[in-house]
Amino acid sequence: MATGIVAHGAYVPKNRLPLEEVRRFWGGLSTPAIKEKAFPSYDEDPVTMGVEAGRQALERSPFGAEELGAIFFATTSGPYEEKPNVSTIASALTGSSRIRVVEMGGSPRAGLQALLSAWEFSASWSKPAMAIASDAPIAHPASSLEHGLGAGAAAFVIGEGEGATTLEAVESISVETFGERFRRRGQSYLQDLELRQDELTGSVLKAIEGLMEGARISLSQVEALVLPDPDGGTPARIAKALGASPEKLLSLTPRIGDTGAASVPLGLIAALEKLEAGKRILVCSYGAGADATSWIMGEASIVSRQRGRSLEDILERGRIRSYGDYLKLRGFLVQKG
Amino acid sequence: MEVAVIGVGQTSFGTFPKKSLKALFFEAFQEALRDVEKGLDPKEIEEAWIGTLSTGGGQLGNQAALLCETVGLAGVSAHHVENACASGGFAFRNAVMAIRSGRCRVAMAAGIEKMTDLPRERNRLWLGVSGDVEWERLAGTNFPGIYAMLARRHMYEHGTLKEWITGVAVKNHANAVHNPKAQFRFPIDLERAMRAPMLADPLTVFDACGITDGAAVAIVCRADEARRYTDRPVMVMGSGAATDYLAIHDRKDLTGLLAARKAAAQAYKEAGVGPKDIQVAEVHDCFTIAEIMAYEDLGFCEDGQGGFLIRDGLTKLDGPIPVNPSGGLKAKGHPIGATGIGQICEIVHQLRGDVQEPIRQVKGARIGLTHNVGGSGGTAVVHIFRSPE
Amino acid sequence: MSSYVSLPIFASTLRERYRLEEPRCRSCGTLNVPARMACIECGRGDFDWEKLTGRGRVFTYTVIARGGAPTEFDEQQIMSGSLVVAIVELEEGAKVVAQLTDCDPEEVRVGSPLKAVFRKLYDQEGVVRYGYKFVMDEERE
Repeated sequence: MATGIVAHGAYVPKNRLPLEEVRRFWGGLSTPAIKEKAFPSYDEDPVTMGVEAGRQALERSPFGAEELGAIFFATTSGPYEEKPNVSTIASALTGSSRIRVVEMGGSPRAGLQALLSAWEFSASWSKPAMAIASDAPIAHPASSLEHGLGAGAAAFVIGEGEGATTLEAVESISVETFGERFRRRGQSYLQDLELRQDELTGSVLKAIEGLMEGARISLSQVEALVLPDPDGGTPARIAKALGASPEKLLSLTPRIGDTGAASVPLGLIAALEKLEAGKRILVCSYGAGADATSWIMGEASIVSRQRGRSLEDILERGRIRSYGDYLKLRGFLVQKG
Repeated sequence: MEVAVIGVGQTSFGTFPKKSLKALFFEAFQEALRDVEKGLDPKEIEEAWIGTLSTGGGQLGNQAALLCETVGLAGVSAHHVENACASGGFAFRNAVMAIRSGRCRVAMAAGIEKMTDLPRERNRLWLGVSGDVEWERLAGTNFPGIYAMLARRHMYEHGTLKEWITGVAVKNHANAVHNPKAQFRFPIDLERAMRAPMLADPLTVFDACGITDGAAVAIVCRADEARRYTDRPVMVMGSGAATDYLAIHDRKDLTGLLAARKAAAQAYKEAGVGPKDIQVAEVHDCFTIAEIMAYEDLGFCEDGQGGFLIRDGLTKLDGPIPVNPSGGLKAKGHPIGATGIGQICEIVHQLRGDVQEPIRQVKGARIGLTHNVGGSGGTAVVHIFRSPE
Repeated sequence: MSSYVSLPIFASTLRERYRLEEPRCRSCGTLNVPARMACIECGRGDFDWEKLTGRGRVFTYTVIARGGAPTEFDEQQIMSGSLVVAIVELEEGAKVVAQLTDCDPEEVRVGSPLKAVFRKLYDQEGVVRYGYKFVMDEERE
């Protein structure tokens, strides 16, 4: 039996803001390809969203919460900078304290990194592990960077299981970047100097080309393509450069916004909820470099997606809010001190 | 040993930012002393129980001793009684028990609260401290929300209409117009009260009592010595008290208060009377629904029919069983610790027939009852009184 | 000085608030929610803990107007305005009190189906307090 994804779960907050509201309020919109975004309510954050996604994955999993050997949690916007957010998640998911917990962050790339680490843990120690990516990146509402930022969470149970969705190959790139999507210690809001260097496209292309070459995969053998998507348009540009058909692209960004570290993992879930067994999924994330991975869809993911609410169902059950509600519920109007 | 009330006094209830805690207590104490017809040397008071939640910015520990020294009773054995909004009623019960035991001849039961000492924000810290804090409060609710949930359940199970519930406020405001010591001496009409801003659905701001300062004092003694002090002693016929689970989710029935039922049963048994014998009552209407539940808990009607008493006007001043002739907590005011003793002041005057404004006097009332509830029914105390022979 | 739930007291209820695990009396089989030292039915003190389904129905509820909730919820009330609190009758029989979240107050009825979710309760002393709330269960009638 191979090690791979045996169950998955997703969580998207119910609150939705049509980006037309942003355009009306600010007189412009930096991400016109995003139609709507999901945002956390006053009582949601990456921890609560991660717990809910994790619970859905566990409900669908052949392994119980007490069997997990590790939880790898990725976020760029956890409520604590120090004190592991993942410990809260672990306590909510399992009564067992004999578990390794690892928290990852630093860039939207953390989501796929958590999934890879969970796979590597599980393959090394023959124990099931969980990866959770949950994020609600935040920038100042007056900055154009903020327009497209959404929220969501994805969770995966990785283990040795019949029909698991297996990891085929990985290619990683690291580069130094300047002035691109960063947040200094103690700061609340993301910044971007908008130097338009497009490190993203370069790194992603390089990682994918390296992956395909190393694993001897051609584009025609790829059924679905999940790419970093901060604006609803980036994947199409990359696909064009790659020479891939845009029909193969899977991204939730146009519907729920840029969900940071959860974005690419949620795209992977979209693939797991759609493809037939045996199909190849190419998943690549970005953050000062890129990780490209290829996965082979397994029967276990088909079983998993048939239990409980589908991703599509979760996406459809949004509740439209006004921009005023958005500012309030997101906490922008709570004055400290 | 029978117990008699020989003197009662209370301040006006209201907001008195310029009167200190001590000044309020002194005022109530002086009035109680003056009310003892043939006079009482304060040195004869042997024990004192003072009910208060201690809201506000003053003394927390040793509050009873402090208040005793304030009125010239330094040296007297004094006790602070805290049972939330029923603190006053429980202070009185302790005094009754002490006399009954034969251990002392004359005792004082008092209550006081100064709720307007604090800025609005800090005052809010004091609301919702007497329900279940760990679960109810942390679910985001304090008493308006708890009583609103009780009201909704009463409406759901018994078909009680909101207009009957709010009718309690209309009745009690009408009574308070004639009470010089009441906080809200203005009538309200049902339509306006129904349309008032929501506090906790289905309760509006007119279904709740306000923020009140006030103090009240009652002096009790052995019945066989009462005539030394007054020709009109009011007898304590029965005393009952009980507790219940603080959190309402731990209770089986959410349409009444079990503690009040138990307290009433004890008091009726001691007094040898039943609900039909009660001719005037002061009940704990911290929220309008509480008075509806009190009717049922005290046996004034069948379970589930409390609303009918309001619908049919049976508890108005001129009805067969006038309830809250003072205006109740709703309109007379609810200075937490003082409330229970304030109720006793009203019933003592009613039974002596010397209510300040005669229009409020319930004619020929000989047996009266007080019903004082702590929190949302975590504590309850009921007393039954008889007019002088 | 006022009412306040200390962190150690809060921490002692994590199992319940985080995972909805509750004690069932070994002597009389009564589920005690929230947990208590002595069984609410028979008064004995030996329990087996079990995980609840988190499904229940509205037993009674209220919508608390802005400014009406305890001070711990001031920030929430700036963000959410009113808040909905309910007594929930759990599938297993016991009742609990909790906030309803993500819900339109107009849609709530006595008897509405609910399910538990993990949410922020409030933020005090720099510590986020998490626990269960309930949402309308869209998969049941």
